[in-house]
Amino acid sequence: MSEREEDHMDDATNAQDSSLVREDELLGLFDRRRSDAAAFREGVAERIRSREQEAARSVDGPSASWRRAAGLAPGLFGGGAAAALKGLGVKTAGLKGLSLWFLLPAALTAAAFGVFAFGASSLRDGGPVPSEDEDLEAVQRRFQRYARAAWIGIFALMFLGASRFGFDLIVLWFVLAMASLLHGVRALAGQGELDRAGVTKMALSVLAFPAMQMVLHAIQLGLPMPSSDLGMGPAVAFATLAAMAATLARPVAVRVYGVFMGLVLIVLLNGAEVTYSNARGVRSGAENIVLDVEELRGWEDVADAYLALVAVGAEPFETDAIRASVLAAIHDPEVVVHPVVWAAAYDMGLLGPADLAALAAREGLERGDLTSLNPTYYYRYEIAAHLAAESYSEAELEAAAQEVLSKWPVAGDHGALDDVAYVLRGLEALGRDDLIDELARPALALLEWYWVAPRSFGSPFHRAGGFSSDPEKYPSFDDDTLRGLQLMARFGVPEGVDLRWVQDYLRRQARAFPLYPELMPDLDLKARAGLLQLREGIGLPERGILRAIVGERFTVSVVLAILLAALAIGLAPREASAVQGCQP
Amino acid sequence: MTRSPDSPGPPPQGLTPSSAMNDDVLDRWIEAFRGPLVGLVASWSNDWREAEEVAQDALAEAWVGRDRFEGDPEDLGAAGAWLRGIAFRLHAARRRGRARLRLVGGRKEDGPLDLAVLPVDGEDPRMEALRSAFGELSSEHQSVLRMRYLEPTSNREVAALLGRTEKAVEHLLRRARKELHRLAERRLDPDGGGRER
Repeated sequence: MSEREEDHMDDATNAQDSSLVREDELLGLFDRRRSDAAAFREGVAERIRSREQEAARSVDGPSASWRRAAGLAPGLFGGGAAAALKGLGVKTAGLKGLSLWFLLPAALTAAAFGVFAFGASSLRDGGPVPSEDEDLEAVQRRFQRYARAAWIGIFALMFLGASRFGFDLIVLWFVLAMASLLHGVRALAGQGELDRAGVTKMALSVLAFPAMQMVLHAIQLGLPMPSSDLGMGPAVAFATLAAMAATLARPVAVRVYGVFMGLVLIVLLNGAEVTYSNARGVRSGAENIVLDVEELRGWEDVADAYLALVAVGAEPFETDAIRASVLAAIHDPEVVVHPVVWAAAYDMGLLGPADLAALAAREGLERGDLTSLNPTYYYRYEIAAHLAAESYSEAELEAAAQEVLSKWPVAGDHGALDDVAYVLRGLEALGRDDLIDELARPALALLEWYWVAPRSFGSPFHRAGGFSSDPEKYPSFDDDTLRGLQLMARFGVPEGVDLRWVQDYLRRQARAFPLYPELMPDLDLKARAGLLQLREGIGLPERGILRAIVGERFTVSVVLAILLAALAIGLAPREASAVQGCQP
Repeated sequence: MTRSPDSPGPPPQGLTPSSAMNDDVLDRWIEAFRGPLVGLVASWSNDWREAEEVAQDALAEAWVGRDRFEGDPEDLGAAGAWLRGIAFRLHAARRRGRARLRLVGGRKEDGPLDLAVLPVDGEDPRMEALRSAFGELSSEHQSVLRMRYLEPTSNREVAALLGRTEKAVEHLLRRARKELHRLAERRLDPDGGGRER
């Protein structure tokens, strides 16, 4: 039996079924929609003629722009970016020395711009790529599946210890989120289900929620963000405002969702730490610390803050009360005072020659001690005290200088930067600037050795970027970092030390949270003083626009993602189109 | 008409180079797919005229690009899938064009005359009930009825365009006709109609 015969059999069977609409009724239903067969055939023929004529006209081959792009491709993928860019007439002089660590983030930044540009163009063209066989739920399921897979993958990488790339992974997330949002919007458009509320909800779900978790994670772990001057604060603030603006969307469910997101983001905004330190902040931080000569707490911090303020030419804080208490202690042998207190007072210039002489007497310093010094850093005041208490011959002073120089450390000694600082303070007291100048090169070598260089992979708790007493065993410490900064302020920055990583370390140490009161601000004072000295004393290296954009890729990617979401929301119709198919 | 791969008749032309297709093939495609294809495209929009234009465009595009067609031109399944893909792409392109116009000029997307069910003066109440009940059917049921009954055709062409088996189309049609009957009966007899018999 042929298929056609089978069809007729089925039709006959169906025709007898009174629960079905009859075929003649159905054919009658569409009578008025039926087109003329000949006219239809002629329409097809006319279109074929038109297309063939068009094809005959366009035999010129690829356009000039395509040829140019094709010529560029081998350069980009084989012969190096600079050569390829030369082909485009771009000046490449400034691109020399681009490292992998720049090119990878640059590629990520370019990807963010690329996805944004493609997405914006695609959205403005109203270019959905519909999938006819899928229903809306399938589209949403797929969208969620992609987003979740990307989220899990990136989070897994974060937890695997890719701390150096932590923020780059978040940038990668935003690139993927933009692509995912674009896919979702286009798929919704293809279903005719595109409306403003749906797009808003999708944008919030793909951008806000996972991003919040990632930023929270980054804050908790203190992930490094060395290339950025802005930090994450402006981007999180912008995201918060955007989420709040999304609450204007309808319907109410979305509005509630948006308000919720906004509130959560405000809490997150609180995590956008204070990343910049200024003289006023350092001054007030030092003034808030209550010093007691019988307690160690706070003395070194206050002295370091004082030195940083002086180093950047800022007005230091009032020290009269501190000086009075120190002098009283010098003259009261009953009071037990740790040498750290004397050293801090000495650093702040609170002790004149008479005070130092009195201190030498109180501490029992003897003439012979000048050539058998204890090089512990907090005894740095002793040489000045000796000199204030006694007169020494040239030969004795030379012997003292040699004694000081003998304390110069070698790479690998624990706490070598303190030893270097001790030697320098001793030579300063002895007036031997000539010897100090000779120490520049070995000092730079030691600085490089004691800098905690970032590792490609490793625990995020291994704080890199600062200086350490033993970088092979320990992460960065505030004390050593401040000592390193003081040495760099004098001798310059070694080639192997990246100041942006130093800044990043200090910024993470100095961070504060706007909504929470600082219970122990003195804990961060040293880092803030270091940040001040770094930015306003030593100065960060200049960078061009390209490097600045790449450096701020976190902010750039957040802004682009939000703009793309805003564009998608703005271009979406208020309500989904009412395509229900043609009616008979 | 068309020939199924395993039916008797002329030798299979599956190995015929596409470039060697003659106008007879085009005629056969038009004859087989005119109604189902217009019906299918009509499911994606609210505009019958546009549906017909897209179907004509799709057939023309398929014919002009027949060198790219790798299947057997006599195989309805292969030709149907080829045509459906082209039609959908063309429909999407029109939709993009409309979206651009809407952004620039604020034009409404669909022809207003096609949005509503047009009343027909003096129409038989049964037909009127069928017509209005049609809009209540699921889009899948509407679609298969449009494709099958816009022009007198067989399940085979509908199946070819939908990429489904004839049996599946037959079941779908049966369910659609049954549902349409139920909905129409309910309209004709609100108190007793619409119950399963």
